[in-house]
Amino acid sequence: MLRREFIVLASATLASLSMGLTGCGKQNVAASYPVLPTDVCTKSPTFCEMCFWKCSGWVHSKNGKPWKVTGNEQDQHCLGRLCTRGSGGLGAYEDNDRLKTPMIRITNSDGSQGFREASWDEALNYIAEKLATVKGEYGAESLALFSHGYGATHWKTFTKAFGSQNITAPSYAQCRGPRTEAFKATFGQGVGSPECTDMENSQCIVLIGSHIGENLHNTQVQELGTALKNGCELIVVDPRQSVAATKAEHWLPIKPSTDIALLLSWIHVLLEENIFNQDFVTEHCTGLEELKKECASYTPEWAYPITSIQPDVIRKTARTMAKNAPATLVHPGRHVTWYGDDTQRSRCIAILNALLGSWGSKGGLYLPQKAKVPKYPLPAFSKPKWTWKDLENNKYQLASAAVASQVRDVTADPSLDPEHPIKAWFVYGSNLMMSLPEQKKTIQAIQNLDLLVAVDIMPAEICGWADVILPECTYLERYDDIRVSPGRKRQIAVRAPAFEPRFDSKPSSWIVKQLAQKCGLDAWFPWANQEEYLSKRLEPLGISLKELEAAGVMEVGQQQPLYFADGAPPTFKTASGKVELVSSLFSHAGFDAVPRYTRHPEPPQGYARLLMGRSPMHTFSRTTNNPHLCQLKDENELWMHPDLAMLWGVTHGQRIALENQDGEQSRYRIPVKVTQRIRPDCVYMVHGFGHSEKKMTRAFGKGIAENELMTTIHIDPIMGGTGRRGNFVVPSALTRTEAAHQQEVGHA
Amino acid sequence: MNEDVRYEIITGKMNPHIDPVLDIWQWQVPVYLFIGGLCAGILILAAWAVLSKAKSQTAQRLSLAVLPLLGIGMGALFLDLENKWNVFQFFGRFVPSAPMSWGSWLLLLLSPIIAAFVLATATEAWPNHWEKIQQRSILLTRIKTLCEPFRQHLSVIILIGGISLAVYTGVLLSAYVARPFWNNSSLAILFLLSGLGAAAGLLQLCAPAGTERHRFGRVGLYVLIAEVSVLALFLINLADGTQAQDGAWAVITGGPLTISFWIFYLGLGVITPLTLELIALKKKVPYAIAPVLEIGGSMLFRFVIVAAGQLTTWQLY
Amino acid sequence: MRKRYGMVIDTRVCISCGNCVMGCKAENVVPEGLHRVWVVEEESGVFPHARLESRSERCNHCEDPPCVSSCPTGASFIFEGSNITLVNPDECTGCKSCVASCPYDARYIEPGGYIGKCTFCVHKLGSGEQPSCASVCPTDCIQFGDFNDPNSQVSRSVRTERTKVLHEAAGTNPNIYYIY
Repeated sequence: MLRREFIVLASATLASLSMGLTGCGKQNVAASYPVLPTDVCTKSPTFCEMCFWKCSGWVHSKNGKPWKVTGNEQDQHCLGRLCTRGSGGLGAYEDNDRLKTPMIRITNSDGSQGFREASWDEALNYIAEKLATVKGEYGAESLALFSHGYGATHWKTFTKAFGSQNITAPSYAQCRGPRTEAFKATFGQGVGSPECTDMENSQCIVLIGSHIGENLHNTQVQELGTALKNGCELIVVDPRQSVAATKAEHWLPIKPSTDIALLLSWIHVLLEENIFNQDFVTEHCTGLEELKKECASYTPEWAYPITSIQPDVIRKTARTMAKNAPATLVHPGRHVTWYGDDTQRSRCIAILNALLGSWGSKGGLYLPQKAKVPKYPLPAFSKPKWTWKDLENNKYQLASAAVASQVRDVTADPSLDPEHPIKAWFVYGSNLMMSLPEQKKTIQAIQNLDLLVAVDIMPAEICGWADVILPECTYLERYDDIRVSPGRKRQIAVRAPAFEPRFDSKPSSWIVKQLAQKCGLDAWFPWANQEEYLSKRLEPLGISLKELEAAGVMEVGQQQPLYFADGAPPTFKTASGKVELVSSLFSHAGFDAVPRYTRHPEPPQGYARLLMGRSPMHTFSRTTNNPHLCQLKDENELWMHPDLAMLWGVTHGQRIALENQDGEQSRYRIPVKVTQRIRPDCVYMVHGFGHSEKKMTRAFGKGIAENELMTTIHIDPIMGGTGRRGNFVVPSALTRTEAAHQQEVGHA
Repeated sequence: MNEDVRYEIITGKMNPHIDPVLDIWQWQVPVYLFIGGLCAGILILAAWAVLSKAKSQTAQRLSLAVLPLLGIGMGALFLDLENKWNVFQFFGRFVPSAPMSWGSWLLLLLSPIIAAFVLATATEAWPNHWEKIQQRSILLTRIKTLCEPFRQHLSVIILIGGISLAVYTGVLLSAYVARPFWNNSSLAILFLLSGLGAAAGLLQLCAPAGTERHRFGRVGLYVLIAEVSVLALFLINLADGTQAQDGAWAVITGGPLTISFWIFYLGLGVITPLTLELIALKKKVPYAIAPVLEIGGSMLFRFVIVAAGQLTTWQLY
Repeated sequence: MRKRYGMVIDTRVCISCGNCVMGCKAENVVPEGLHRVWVVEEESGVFPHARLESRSERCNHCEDPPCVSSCPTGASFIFEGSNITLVNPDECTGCKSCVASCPYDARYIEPGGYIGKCTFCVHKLGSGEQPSCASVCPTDCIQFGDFNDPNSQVSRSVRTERTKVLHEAAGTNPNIYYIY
């Protein structure tokens, strides 16, 4: 064995750093060190834009060069720890596949179309002119904004100033909308984002298809870890054994699409055995008797043949929930648009939480706090003649936000609503080709547009359809609005640029202001720059931008109690002012006041239901080309049970293409993962892969985009949610040969 | 309990040349090991020829080729280094726990002794040529005169050095506990015998017809018999090994090296020359076939062993 | 006193998110395509009783490191006063002997021709910080500390929890324990 002689170098800095360890031995260990005492390290505050959790962190530079991003210890969104995507955030900045300059669509002499590089002035003039034409012809309301991400603030302001309220995002009707409406109908408010789940104190957590851990919602994952270490009992309902399910006391591999039956049966057991939280229900809830009546027949024996979950398991798990109540959390989930009756399923979850008394209780759902930061004083927006609410005669009357898929649909088929034409789209940071279901309809809608502007960092598929592409710089290169989000504390956070924007990319704050000038909307953008805007917003709080930048995160305002037990006022903004076990809102609107189970279509012979989820290394389809994160995971795989693999004649690792019940084929192939961790009647893949845009060199052609195979959509009549889990697949007969595939993709 | 357990790397790893199986040593290392073994064999036989009554001019002549051959072998090893500028570091210190360090120093120290040995035995080896060389290089003659009195001592050192060199080429691999296929003590003896066999084969090819050629044919036969015996021990050890060695056994029983090992190495490189040499005891067979196969087998053996070891790991994914 | 740095990794709360891998790569600027840390899933059992063990793996900074003893030049060495095995690029010839000697296959070839590996973020330890993989883990399943200090968290965990090491029979005396 070899021991190196320890020689302390003369450098005092090194010696002080060393503490007997970090010093240099005789050998040069410099290459083992990413940072040396002679390096000048600096950091600047940001909050992460790799997903929607918006964790505050520090961007570290070494000798003026980008180094790493780490979490801010003071931040309640991350508690000092970023997630995988956040740690790989630098990749967004470093990616050389980024959009580099503004581009305008042109028609070549041979009739083919292409893009030409343009100056910012040209591109924005082009947009301003087109907008003026559209406004003149169809009214300002015909502009719609699809957005995702924190840089959207100014785009929203622009849209409103222009005269349109048609601001939408796939994060509502394609994701968490049903949950919002269900909790609002029950408790008078939604669970927000980050969700007000008090998991760190939970003694029992119930996950309905939510795969926390694989969806790396930072603090939720951290709190799940804490809960598990504290011996929290975990009950996971999922056709697939998610990572969370592998940690669970009870994994209930439910037959897909039957969750409502199980939830109703749980409600039944709680009521039947009288083990619900009597105090909470008596004090805060209405509709108990009607609920009892409605649920009387939902015995575990009734649910068993529907769900395939044994009656004794249903009873046992219900008792576990009751035993730990009110520190039992039936998690509301996040991506909940599955089968078209999702609002009612979320209602079941809300009712269960009410019966357990979890709302406002430690270990259940805490009462979220939010900092009060006054808006920048701006002139009032003119009132538009119509808004998204009026589309198709207020079709989704309980939708509290614009339904992105509906805006798309009326664009695609103007005959649905001839009175309310939509002729121009601004698409900010949302790859609609991947995030909206029924891609063909999206393409049809785009054909009907007079103007499509895509603002993005990456050449996402949507950019290929745009008339004008505007390259935004990444979150590491810009200021954005102040982060004000709900949580246990009233915190605000700031994002400041760590680096100069690469290429000719610009922050939205700059882009929008330029565009507004060209459109004569200067009045709504009176600030000189984003720093001035931020300073003005912070002024009433008595905080300077500099102070906030030094801390990254600050607490603003008086802390209020999080639980009823600690004196929080029990106010519920429902019609009755109580927790509504039976929803008056739903019954007035003509929907079931108490959820009912309905049967959903089942896979035809030989087909398997296609389920989708998240990878912890990626956010949607936005990060699959990230040079760091693609090293961690560069392809999705298709999970299937060995029995199904045998039926389909495929083996572990084999790459197959898929075809759905409508004959739609996947563009690419996906490797099979044969596993005991899934039911034989379904297959599973994570979202975000199967990019068809060649300019994304790392992500192109890798894996399958499940969206291509989800062509049958079950729409939630309550709020317009697009349920995509009623699609069934088989291995594709393969019209494309392997050689052709190889040629296009260029890799195995 | 015979339960299926599946190991999967979820993320990370897949480092080039490390995963999914080790692929750090390609042709360079087996070539080096082969040449090292061959040279060791030549030295052993040449030293033996000096020390024993069984004189062999061919063996002593071939010892002249040892240094250039070793140069080629070390050249191959040099080509394998990822950080070639640091090659002199091998002689920066002696690390007793590292076989590779032993090898480097052994070769360094052995080289002048080999030169001295060649000079000390030059008169018998090259009786006709030496006259001419003598006239041209006074320096060489002086060194030769200096070495000649130590002819016997040098031969003993060369004999020991040769054995050490051959054994070292095996120990180099067998010391790796991390590679179950290599981690087998009989490997060192196998490498010694295989090197000796290759040298005997080469001498048989180079020797003039008659006693000498016949004698090296005999040596080859004995070495092959010994090799088969030790190989049996090696295989028993492998088949009967720990859980980690199960994988090693599988590499040559159904695994990617099955045919190379059993058919080409054992069948063509060992059993066939062995049979031919046995037949040659009674009948006349073309003399060149057996030694050529023997040398080929010896070379292939290094390739198979180096490849097989890299296919084996303790990791289960 | 000599430090015996090691980890106790709780597979019961590891969620295979890969942040240990990413955090390490970011902190240590590990070149593209190379990794010092990796995550393994061990799946067993039959539906619906399948089981999963998620494990974050890396160099075990063994007590008897074969990578150090097999290095012919001394480039592979043990950091003074500890058990942390490092590589000195100035002495490394890239002979890959250490790579072959590691039963955990934890070493790799750097583009510079020398051998790369986990350093336990030795540059952070002096200021009392944790290695990057541990400090970013969202479920805090990676505990890092000194096994020679009986009061350290890692020492206590090994005393109180059911733990194992990987490939014990390889005889290297690894310093990473897994709670399972």
